[in-house]
Amino acid sequence: MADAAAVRGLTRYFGDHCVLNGVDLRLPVGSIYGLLGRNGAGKTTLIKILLGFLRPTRGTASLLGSPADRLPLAVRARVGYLAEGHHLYGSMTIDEHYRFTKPFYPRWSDDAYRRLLAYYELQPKRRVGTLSRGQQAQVSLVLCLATQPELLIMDDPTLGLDPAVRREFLDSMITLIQQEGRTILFSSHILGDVERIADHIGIIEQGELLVDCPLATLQERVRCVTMTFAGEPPAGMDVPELLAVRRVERTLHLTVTRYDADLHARLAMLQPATLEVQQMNLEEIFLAYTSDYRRLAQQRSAACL
Amino acid sequence: MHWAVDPQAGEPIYRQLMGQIKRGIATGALAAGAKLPSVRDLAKLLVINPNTIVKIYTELEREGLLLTRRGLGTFVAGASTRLSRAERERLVSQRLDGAIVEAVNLGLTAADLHRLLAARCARFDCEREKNVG
Repeated sequence: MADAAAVRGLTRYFGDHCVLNGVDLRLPVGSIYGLLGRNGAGKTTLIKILLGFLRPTRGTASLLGSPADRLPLAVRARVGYLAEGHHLYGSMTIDEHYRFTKPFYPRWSDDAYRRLLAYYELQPKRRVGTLSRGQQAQVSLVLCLATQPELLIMDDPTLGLDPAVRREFLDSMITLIQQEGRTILFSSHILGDVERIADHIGIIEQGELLVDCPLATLQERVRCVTMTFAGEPPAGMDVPELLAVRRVERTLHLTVTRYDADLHARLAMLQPATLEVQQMNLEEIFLAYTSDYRRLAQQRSAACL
Repeated sequence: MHWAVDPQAGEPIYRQLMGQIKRGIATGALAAGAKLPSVRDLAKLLVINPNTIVKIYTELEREGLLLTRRGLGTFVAGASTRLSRAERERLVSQRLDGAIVEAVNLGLTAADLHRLLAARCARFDCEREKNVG
């Protein structure tokens, strides 16, 4: 499958602060890619480099086959971008935004614009400053979708929106992706939403991309293993796949990557009284990667000293 | 047939939905020849990625439970289009292996498993009776 976007070895410093560290990521055409990370993890920087708004310190980024830092206008017109916070002009009406935006986009569809305004029950004569936050988000989505983007990039588009507006956003994304050759990249903190509609997941933590794979693969590989021991649980474990570990009395709750029969057999050799394996939802997987991964890595390197 | 997925459940959405369809067919809630919702409609209804549904329909077609008629839609296969008996037994055996491993790990015996399987089968028959009858 071709890639709508790809980055290789992407590194970006702000001063001496490393915001992205050697990121490799592929965005297959036709996918809905959910980019996850805590605040300050580097999501927005990655998106801005992809769009050519920022240059990387090292590494390369390409968008629809063109280098991201030298995007031809014709390529830029095929990309829709919803910035965090939905920046619109409060004193302008919706129709004035329409007249302002349309000339930049040769693929613009008046039909889509009118249909979406009607769907969201937005009045074209309304001044944007008088609209609610949810309605402003809808306006920026309408302006973005009317450009018929081949690639839609959205930075936390549903931040601060109520569940009904969020649901309509997801609905619009589903409609868009059903058209041949469309691709969506979005970041969000609402992992239930991401789990519904994303088919590829990237997890970025302190500038490093820890996960870049199909959601189904992630959910097959990452499992929670609960082992209860008759006596004292083993203190140290030589399990490279370990992502997180919690101990409650004589029970160990392990989160492991790359779960398979071989790992199961190795864990069974620790001779627990019971061993239970469960699948995890995206939120649990995300938390295991972002809150425990670092701590465990630090413990490991400390143990090596 | 009531369609629902829950992103908060530990089970991945594609597995939830695949399980629902299989269960629907097994219990008779989805009868042979019944038409399934189109990918587009089901994606809209459940608010999930359409690719997920395409993948599920393809997989179930491969297992012989569904069949797609070009331009008409996806249907529950009749018994004659199902997989061979050996193939069906192989698929079920795989699932049973998982349950056996789980049972042994949890300290259950073969006798316990036989008893549980008989009880679950009886319960399933009741449910099927309700749907078909």
